[in-house]
Amino acid sequence: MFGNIQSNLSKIFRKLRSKGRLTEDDLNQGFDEIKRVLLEADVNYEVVNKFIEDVRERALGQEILFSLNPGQMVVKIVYEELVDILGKAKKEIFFKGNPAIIMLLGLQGSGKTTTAGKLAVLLKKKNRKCILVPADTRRPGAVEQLKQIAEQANVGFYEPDTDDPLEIARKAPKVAYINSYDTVIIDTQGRLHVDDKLMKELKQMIKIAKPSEKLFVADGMTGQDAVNIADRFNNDLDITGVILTKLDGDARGGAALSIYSVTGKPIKLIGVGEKITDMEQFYPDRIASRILGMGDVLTLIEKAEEGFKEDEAKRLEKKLKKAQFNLDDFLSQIKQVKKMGSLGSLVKMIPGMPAKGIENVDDNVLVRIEAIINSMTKEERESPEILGGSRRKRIAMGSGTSVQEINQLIKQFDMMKKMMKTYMKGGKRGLPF
Amino acid sequence: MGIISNLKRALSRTSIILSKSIAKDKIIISELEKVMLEADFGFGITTDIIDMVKNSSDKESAIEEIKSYLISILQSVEFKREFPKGKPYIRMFVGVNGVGKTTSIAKIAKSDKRNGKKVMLAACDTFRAAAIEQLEIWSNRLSVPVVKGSYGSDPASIAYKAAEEAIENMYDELLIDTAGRLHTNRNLMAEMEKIARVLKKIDSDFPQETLIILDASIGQNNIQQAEKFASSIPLSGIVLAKIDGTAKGGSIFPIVRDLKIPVLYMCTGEGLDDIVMFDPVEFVESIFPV
Repeated sequence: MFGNIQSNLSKIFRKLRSKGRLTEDDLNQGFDEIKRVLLEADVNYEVVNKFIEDVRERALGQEILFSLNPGQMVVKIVYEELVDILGKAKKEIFFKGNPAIIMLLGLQGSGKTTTAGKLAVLLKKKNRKCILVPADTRRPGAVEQLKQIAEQANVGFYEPDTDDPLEIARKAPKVAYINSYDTVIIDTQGRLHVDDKLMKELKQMIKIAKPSEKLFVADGMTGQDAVNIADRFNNDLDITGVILTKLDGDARGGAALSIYSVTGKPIKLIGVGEKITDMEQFYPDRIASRILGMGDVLTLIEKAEEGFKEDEAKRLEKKLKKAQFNLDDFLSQIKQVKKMGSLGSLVKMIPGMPAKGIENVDDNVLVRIEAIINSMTKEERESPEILGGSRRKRIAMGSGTSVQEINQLIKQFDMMKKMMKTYMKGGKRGLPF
Repeated sequence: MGIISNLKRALSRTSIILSKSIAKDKIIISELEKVMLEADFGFGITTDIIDMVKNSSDKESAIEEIKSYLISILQSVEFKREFPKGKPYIRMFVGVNGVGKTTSIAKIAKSDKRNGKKVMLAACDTFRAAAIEQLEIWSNRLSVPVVKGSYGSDPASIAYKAAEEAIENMYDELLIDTAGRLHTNRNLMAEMEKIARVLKKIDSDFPQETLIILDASIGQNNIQQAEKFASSIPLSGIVLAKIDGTAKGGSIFPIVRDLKIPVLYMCTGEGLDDIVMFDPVEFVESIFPV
């Protein structure tokens, strides 16, 4: 996500940083280029203009012209202003009432139903007991879709006995309460913001269900119209927050940069993949650093912590210290890395990595390595040095790979082992992840 | 037609300002820029048009110039559809998630059936929950048969089976619904390529058309979508969906101009009849009222 903005902005910043002194002309030219990048990224026209004006004002004031490293200073100002228009600080989902009601609202095809499942999975981690409620009785297959998603997510599902969304909004919380669910997620029908009849229906549903969260679900690829749509939903229904979806493509993030400044309502969550676990908390500061190519180490660390079991990590560390690290340990490490998400998504969070062109890091590499190690005997895994030509040939046949690939793996493993040895000697603690 | 009237209103504001003076007036230029950019035209075409207007002497000729330029873009790609004899006409519908593929198929199936065609559907979205059920419901409502498989099965095999059945039972048309896929996901793009490849094994003309559905409310990302899909599979046309909102759909201009893919249909509402053949002149005329 944001790959395009990132690579274009970094070009502009490189140019600015290459100069020891920045004149007002240099700056104005840089700002024009930033403006163009943002417009091409679908950031709303008005929002862009205001953003550029804010940055320009600060830059032309004392801050840049007299600073020691003016180029760096521009980056800093842009970063701070970005954090500002993205919503300043993270905002979590808010729960009130028993059960707490969360309603998902938005246009057709913005991803409400999929989001309902992802949200339930996310809230399950926070020990919420969720039930999904289908209030979209109009689109063919919508109820069935949510039912299947509830099964996948392994959360409750409310089977409606009526086609009337208002009736569903009335009954579902009671059913949830009786069955001791503490969180009700209502998936509403997609509707246009200009469809007065359906907007009125939503208003009535809100009156009945009294949700503590009214979350507007928006497609992350939405263009200039994003602000009109969000504004209308907010004015009519007083939304409490936003979920941006489909940010795993090359969405330029214009909607993310526009919606908060227009509605004043925070983006709370973002959908970043097709899997039911692919939903993340939205952090304005982290996203701003991703946009500026500064990486997102914090999220990476959190993912690592989630994926790695602590005792497993300790066991590995012990083995490393004794220099007993073998291919079995290598395999278990690979399995844990896989749990953290696709390689492409991980690489993008590393500072200095270009976001463009690495969307398609091949996850099959890991699968092949797993296959190779799985085709080895216990003895071979523990002491890879016994792997001679005929053993390698056998493993290649068994794993459906080639001897070259096995050679390469062993080489990488040796290198890694060596690296770890020096790393341990250096007295540093913990795994290099 | 909310979008048209909105764009009309937005652009008529431009024309009022244009009437005052045209030459190198900064205010006119920036107002024009604003209107075009907010309509998702994108930077390239907006700049081109502004350059054109800069050289105009008066308002009328400026607007005529803009109109004829935009119409010429939309007309620059010709499209002809000929229904073949002795085999079905197969159309594949592709696009990212949530653009309205299944609904568009239902609309086209209905309109073609009304025109006397014998239509069959194929449910090749075996990934998204309840996607098959969704197409089945349409198939029941429209009483056109649907060929389907189970979830997780290979979409290409379902398409193959459907094509065989369409030939066997002498259908005029087969409409293939595919899973929504992000254009950046190489594996899913390869899966889509496979569907077309497998159909070609039956007849090298299959599928006669591959249509990409684009959501009018999506901005410049539509260009990336069209580009990436077109580089995977030859696209014969665009279905512009959801232009009944306030989005203007200006992103189709750079797509048609640079990728040479014609816009064929326009979806104007939620009803099954809310689909029209795309008319470039009408579309542009309604943007710039006389």
